[in-house]
Amino acid sequence: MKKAPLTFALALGASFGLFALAQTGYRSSYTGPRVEITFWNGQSGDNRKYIDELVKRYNASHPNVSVRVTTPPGDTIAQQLPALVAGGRAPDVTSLIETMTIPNGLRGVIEEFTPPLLKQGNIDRARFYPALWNGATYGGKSYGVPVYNVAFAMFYNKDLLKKAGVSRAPRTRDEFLRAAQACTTDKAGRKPGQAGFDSRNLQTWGVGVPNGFFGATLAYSVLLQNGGNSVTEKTYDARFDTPEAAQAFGFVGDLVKRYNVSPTNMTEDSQQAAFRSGKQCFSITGTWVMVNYQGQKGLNFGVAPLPQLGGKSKTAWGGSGYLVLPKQRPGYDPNKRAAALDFINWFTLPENNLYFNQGGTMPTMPVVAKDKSYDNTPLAELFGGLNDVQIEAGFPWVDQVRGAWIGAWDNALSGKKDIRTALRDGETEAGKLVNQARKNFR
Amino acid sequence: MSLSLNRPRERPRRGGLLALNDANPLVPYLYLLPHGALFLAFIVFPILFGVYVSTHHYDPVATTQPFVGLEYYRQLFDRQSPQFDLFWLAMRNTALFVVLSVPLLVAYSLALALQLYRPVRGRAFFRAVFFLPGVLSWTVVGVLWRWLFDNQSGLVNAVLTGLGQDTIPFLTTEGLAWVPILAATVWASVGFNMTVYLAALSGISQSLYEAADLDGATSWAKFRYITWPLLSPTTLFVTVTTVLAAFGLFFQSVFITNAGPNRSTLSVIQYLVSEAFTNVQYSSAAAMSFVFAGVLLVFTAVQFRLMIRDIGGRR
Repeated sequence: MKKAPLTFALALGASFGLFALAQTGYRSSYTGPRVEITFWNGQSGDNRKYIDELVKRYNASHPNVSVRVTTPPGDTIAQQLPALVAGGRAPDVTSLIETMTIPNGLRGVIEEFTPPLLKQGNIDRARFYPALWNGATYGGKSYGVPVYNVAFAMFYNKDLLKKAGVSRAPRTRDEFLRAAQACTTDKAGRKPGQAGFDSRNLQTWGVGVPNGFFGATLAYSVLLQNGGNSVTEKTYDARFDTPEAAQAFGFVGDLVKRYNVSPTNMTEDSQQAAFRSGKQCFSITGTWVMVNYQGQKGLNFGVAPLPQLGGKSKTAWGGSGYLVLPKQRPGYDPNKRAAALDFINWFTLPENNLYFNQGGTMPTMPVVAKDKSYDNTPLAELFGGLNDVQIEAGFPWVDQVRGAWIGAWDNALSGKKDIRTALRDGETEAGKLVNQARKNFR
Repeated sequence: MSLSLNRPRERPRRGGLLALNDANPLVPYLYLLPHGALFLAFIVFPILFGVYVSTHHYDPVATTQPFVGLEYYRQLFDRQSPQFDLFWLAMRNTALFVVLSVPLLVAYSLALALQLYRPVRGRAFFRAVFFLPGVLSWTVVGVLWRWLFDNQSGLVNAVLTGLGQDTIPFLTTEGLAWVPILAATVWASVGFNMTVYLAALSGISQSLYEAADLDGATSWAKFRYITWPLLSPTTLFVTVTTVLAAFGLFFQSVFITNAGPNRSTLSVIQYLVSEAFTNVQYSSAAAMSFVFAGVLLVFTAVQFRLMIRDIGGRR
């Protein structure tokens, strides 16, 4: 996942913050003889340098442990890990994204973090946001320790909003619609709803509603805000054909079709380009997209939590990464396991999470979000909403359900199918895939 | 003894198995060994292992790999399975891409080669220009063409807008989404075929053209009766390799459309990869790859038959 390097202010602040946060009372839980452990890091984007630096610091402060870090592309870790585990050549620690953690736990590719293991490494699960911890927990078993956090948020163009007469970032559906309409003007200067308004020739507009993952995930966030979900509770069966989902698809699609505050046929590329070039007031997308907006000449932007576009809550989609322990052959050196646990604990400490987040990720725990060094960064506006972020994980077939959900969204947005049919067909497809997946996780 | 020219040549003496010279009967096999070992390790063994994977419920970390016979092959022909819908959709998409791209790639590369074979000024420069995109990685090619064809901000639509036309939503319209994929494929891979044709053209004797000139042949006639027939073995090679490469469609549709819109550009390989590594169904993916390979074999065999007859008939 691409991450943005944060501003110099945060870098500077982080060093002070390090000082402020260094009071967490960490003591190395590993006191054994000198061991070397391998760490496969799946983050090959902008925050790789922060990971490498953290590993360097760990090695410098732990004379009896030497961590060797390698960075294969993120996808290949998940693809190769089962074979490496089967061959007894897995790394001692690796990172996995939220959709891959539970499936690998259930298949026996990675270890469960049992209470004794957590205790051995002094890993306190209470320090993390519960939603993050639960994203890697299934059937009461936890398979990963949160190492980063990303979410959907709303970037807004401050200058464009001022010009449209909007004084602050919208927080409710009505505020959002009003602001988006105020931003929208056709080439002849007419507003949506005025006679002769030409929705096909917009000069500036409110928001870009794209197809694919990004549009589908906006609709998914609205579904969560309506109090619904794409899977049932407890059994995690695919359930798309609900009033909450129909309303979510309808509302997000109407931003294009009824309210005319988004051009038709947007892609994620085009909505990002429109926001960068100052034509679009809002860009609702992943926090990791900020790298594309920073340093853009003439773009004066802020970030706010996703407004409440649905009926019940302010929930937003979230994603995360976890540090995991690949399964090892019998006879595996217990000292390596002990050192790996200490490394995972150290790496996810508040002060190190604060440093790591310079790569554009967000705090994994409240104490980091409160740190003063964030006061001057655009991302800080989001932190009040971090409790509202819901990780799309916590069950073994996230990818299967997500793929069918995106398919349903594309069918509905393009008008190829009406909303009910798109949702029903998507549910059928996801249902078949989930049934197959169940057999794989017996 | 007189020297006689028609004396039969002496056959090399057969040496013993321990002879340290060419007479050792093991020598030819030793020459074959390096390639043979690699061929066994990277072709034969994976195929056999693939057969094993596709007939068992395979998971490398599972303690048992239960035998399921042809279950995963049957699934591909069972209307109720999710694999049935997606595999054959991907198959149709990929076949459509082959039908669209191969004639373009063969004809365009031949046309380029014919132009660049003539002694035009800057010939070497142009040869390099057409060949160069082929050395770029597909990631770069894909992102480049995705941006060029973006619905709003792409160069193509910027030009259209400048000409007072409406923009064309290439990336979100079924059917039109093939345009950037085809453009990227032709741009990136035409240079290789062109180079093959150039090499073949230089193998045609100039005396044939001189004789044709004396007979007053037009340039079309020279192409029709000399160049085209003599290039037919090359055309066979180019067509077969291009068809196989086109069936291997993967990166272009991943990076340009990510299988969209509505999965209309989902390729077989992309589906195979997601079935194996996202859905964790190695066996199902292995079965698909065998069915897919079977289709490719049939295509290649048919092409060979058609072309060989064509080449043979002209000699």
